[in-house]
Amino acid sequence: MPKTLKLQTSQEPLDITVYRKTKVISGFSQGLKLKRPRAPYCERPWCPGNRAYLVNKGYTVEPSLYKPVDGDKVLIEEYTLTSMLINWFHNLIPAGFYHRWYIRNFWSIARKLIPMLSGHPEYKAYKHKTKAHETRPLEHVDVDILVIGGGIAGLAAAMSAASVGAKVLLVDTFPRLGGFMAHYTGEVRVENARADEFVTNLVNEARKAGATLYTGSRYIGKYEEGFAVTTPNRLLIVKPKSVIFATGGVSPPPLFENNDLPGIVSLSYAFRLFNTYNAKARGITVVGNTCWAVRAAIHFQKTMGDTHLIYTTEPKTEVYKLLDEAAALGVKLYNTRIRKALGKEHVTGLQLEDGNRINTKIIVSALTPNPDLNPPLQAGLELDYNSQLTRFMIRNHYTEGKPGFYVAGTVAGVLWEDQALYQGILAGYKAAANAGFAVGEETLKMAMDDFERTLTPEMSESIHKYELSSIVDIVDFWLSGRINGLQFVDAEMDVTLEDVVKTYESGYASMEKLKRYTALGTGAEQGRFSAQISSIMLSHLKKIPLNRLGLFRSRPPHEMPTFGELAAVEVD
Amino acid sequence: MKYGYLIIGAGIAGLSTALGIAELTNNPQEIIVVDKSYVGSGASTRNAGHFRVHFFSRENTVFAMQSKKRLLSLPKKTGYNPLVVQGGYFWLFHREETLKAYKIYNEKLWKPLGVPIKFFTPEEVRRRYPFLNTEGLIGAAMGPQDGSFHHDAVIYGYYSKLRAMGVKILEQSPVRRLIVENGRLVGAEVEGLGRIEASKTLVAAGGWSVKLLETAGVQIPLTPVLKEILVTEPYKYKFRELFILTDMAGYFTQTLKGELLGSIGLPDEPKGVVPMNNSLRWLTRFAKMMVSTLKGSENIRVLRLWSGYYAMTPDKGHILGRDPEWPTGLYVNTGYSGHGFMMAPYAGELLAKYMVEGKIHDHMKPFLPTRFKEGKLIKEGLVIG
Repeated sequence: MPKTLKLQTSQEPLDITVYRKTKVISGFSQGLKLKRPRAPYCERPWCPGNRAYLVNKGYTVEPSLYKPVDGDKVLIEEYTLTSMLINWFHNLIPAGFYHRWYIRNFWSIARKLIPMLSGHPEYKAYKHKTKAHETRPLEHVDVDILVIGGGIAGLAAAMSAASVGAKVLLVDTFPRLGGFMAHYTGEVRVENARADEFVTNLVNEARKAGATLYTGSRYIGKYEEGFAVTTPNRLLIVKPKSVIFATGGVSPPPLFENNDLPGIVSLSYAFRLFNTYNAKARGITVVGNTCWAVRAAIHFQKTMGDTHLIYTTEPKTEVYKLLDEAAALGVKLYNTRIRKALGKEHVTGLQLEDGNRINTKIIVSALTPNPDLNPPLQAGLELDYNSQLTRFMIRNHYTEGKPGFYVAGTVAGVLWEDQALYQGILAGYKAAANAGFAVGEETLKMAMDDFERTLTPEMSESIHKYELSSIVDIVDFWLSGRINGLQFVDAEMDVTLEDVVKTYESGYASMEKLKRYTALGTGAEQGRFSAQISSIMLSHLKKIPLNRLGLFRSRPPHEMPTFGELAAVEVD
Repeated sequence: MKYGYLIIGAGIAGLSTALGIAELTNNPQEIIVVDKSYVGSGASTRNAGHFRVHFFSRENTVFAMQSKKRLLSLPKKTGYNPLVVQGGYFWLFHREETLKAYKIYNEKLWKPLGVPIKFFTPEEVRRRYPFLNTEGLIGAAMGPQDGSFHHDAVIYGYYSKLRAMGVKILEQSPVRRLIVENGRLVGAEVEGLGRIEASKTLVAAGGWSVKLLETAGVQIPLTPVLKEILVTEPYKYKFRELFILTDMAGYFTQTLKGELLGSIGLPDEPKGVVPMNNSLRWLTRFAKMMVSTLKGSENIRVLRLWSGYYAMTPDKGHILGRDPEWPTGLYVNTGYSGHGFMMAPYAGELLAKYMVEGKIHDHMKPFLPTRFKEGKLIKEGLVIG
C-alpha cells in the first residue's frame, strides 16, 4: 500500500505518494506535448508537474490533482499511438513543431490531435460541489517594510529592520518559516547548531524584535494599487516605504537525458520529504558541483545510507575537504558525466558516461539554485549575472540601486546560509534607513563588514561587479555534455536543450522570440527554470553576451491565486 | 542609407504591408522595416488571437470577410501554419436590447452578406454547454464563421518569409523622429542607425504612432487604451468557442493548449501610452465574471496577466493610407481599435497597392484618414473587451 504524504501548504493540499515497497515517486500527471509522466519536482506552487486542480467531466473542478485514481496502481497510461506520433514529429522537427509548415498538410488531423494530446488524461470523476465563494475582506496594510520570503535572508532582514523600530511585515508561502533550512537537520555554518533549531531561534528573534510574520501567504505581484498578498482569509494591499525581496531559489533539474522522470527532485524538496515526513529511501543519488551537494550527500548517508554523489567539474578547495569527509562516511563518489536517467514511469537508475550504471530510486538535484527572480524583476529591479555561482541574480540592489527596493539571499547572488544571514541583516538596516528610521553609520558599516567577511574575494567581486555583459564560460547544470536527446529545459512544455539551440540557430535570437517559438517558459514555472537555463546555456554554447539574451518579461501573479480567492474581494 | 520604402513598426500592420510591397515591386531589397523592440512586440503578440467577420458596419464586415480569406490562405505565402480554428463566437445576452440589436444586424447586414449568425434560447445553451451558468440569460447567438489563430505563428510566418525574400528587418531600433524637408518626408532618424532615407515611409506603430507622427507635424485622432488579459493553467480542452458576455464587455475561451484565456473591459481604462502594468481591480473583476459564468472555476489558478493597447479611433475603424495635406511620402496603417489581426492581412495588401501603384481600392476608401475632417465616420459599435 502506498503511503500518501500530505504536504500541507496554506490553502491547497499537495499530496505525493511514496510507495513503501518500491520506494519510488510516481507521476500523476502528464506533459503537454509528449505525454510523459510528471511528478512534483519541487515544493513551490509554480513547480512543473505540480498541478493542483483539474477540470473533470466538463464543469466540475477537482481541487486536488494528486489523488490517486485507483489505490496503488501506477497512474500513467502506456505510450499510445498518438504519443508515438507526436514523438515522431518531435524527432523530425524539434522546435515549435506545430508552427512549421509540414504539419499544415496534416492540419485536419492535427487540429483534433493537438487538443487531444494537450489535454490531460480523464481522471475518475469526483463529485465536487462548488460552494459559493465567501467574501474575503480586502485590507490595506500600513507597514514601513514588506519582506517577501521567509527564508534565512528574509527572517534576518525582518529582524534587523524591526530592531530599529520599523513596522515590518514578512510574508511566506509555506506554513513553516525558514525556507528549506527549516527541514535540514545538519549543522549550520553560523554556529554549532542544527539548522532547524537555528531557524526556530531566528524566527523567535524576529518576532521579539517586533516583526509581523505571515505564513501561508502568497505574494501575487506589484499592481497599480500596490503590492498584493493573499492570506488564507484576506487579500492584503501593502504600500510600504521599502520592499525586500528574499524569494530564494530552487536547484534546477540538471541537463541529462530523461531529466523529467518522476523521482528527480530538487534538494529542498528532498529535505522536506525525508526529514519532515520521515519518508525513507534506499539508493539516493545526489547530483551537483557545490558544497551543498556534498553536504546533502553526507546528510543522506548519515540518515539513510547507500548514497551516491555525482559531480562533474574540478572541485574547489573547500569542496575537497568535504569530499574526503563524504568518502570516509561511505558515500560513493563519481567524477563523471551522466548520459541519461533510466526508467519509464519513474527513475530506476542512471547511466554514466564512463559506462557505469547506478541503481537509484531518487535523484536529488543539488545544483546551485536558480533564484526566483520573477517577483523582483516584475517590480522593476535589474537583472545581473554572478559568474562565481554561474547564476542570474538581481543587480547589486542590497547596497544602493533602486531606492526602496532591496534584495537578500539567493536572489542577491549568495549561496550559503551565513552569507544570506548577514546579507539579510544588512538589507534590513538599509531598508529601515530608507524608510526614515535612524540607523547609525557604525551599525551599517558593521553589518557590511560582517557580510563581506562571509565572502571569498572572488565571490565579493562577482556580487559587486556588473557581469551581465559577459559570456558564460562554465555552466553547472550541464551534466551530460551533449545537446541532443530528450534533455528537457522545460519539463512542462516539453522543450529540450536541442530545441533551444536549433531555434536559436534558425534566427530566433532573443529570449522573447525563443519563448514564442518553442512555448518555452509558458507553463506554470514561467521561465524560473527554463528561461534561466536556456539563456545561460545559449550564452555558453554560442559565445554570446548574456545581456543580448536576458530573460523574458516577468508578469504577475507569481504564486498563482485562484479565481475563487480573487473573486471574493471588492477592489475599487 | 537610402531605401524605397521605410516601414516603422514590425507588427502585423507593418509586416503585412511589407509583404504586399515586396510582392508587387519584386524588389524586396529596397524595403526596410524597423521596430523599437522585437518583432511583434506591441499589440501583435499581446492579443487574444481571435478573428470575426461580424461588425455593425457594412464597411468593416466586408473588409473583415476579405481579410479572413487572406488569413486562411496565409500558409501558402509564408509556409507557417497559423493554427486557425473556426470555433465560432458565442454571444451571451442578458439584456433584451442587445439581443434585439443583434437580431436586426443579422437580418439587415450579416444575412445579405452571407455570414448569418444563429440564435439560441437559454434552454438550448444549457444543453449545449452544461458548464455555463445561465442564470439571467435571455438568449445567445453563435457566429460560426469566426474563430481563433495563433498570433505568433502569423507574425513569425510574415517575419521568416520577409527575411527569406531579403527584406531588412531591424529590431531594437527605435525611431527618434521623422524627417520632413520641403514638405516632403525624406526618412527617419533611428537610434543606433542614424538617418535612414526612403522615398515612401509607412508609420505602422500602433499606439505609438501618434507621438511619431507629431514629429512630422501630423495629427491623427488615435488614443491608445490599455487593456488587460490573462491566462490560467491548462485544463482539459473542452470548448473551442469564444464566449462573449455581451452586456459585461467580457470574453473568455480556451486555447489549444487548454489554458483559459479571457478579458473584461472596464469603463475607465487608462488612456495614452501608459506603462503596461496590471491592476488588482481588473483582476478581481475578471475573476468575478469567471466565477459567475463558468461553473467550478473558483479553483482554477491564474498563471499570467499582461496588458496591451487597443489603438482606438473615434469610429473604431482603422486608418489606412494618407491625407493629401500631409508631407509627401507619408502613409499610415494603424488605429485598428482591437481588430488588427482581423483586418491587417487585407489592409496590408490594399495599402501596398496604394503605395506602389497609387490605386485606392473601393474597400479601402472608407478608411482613409481624411474621413475624420470630412465627417464621414464609419458607424461601428462592436468592439469586444
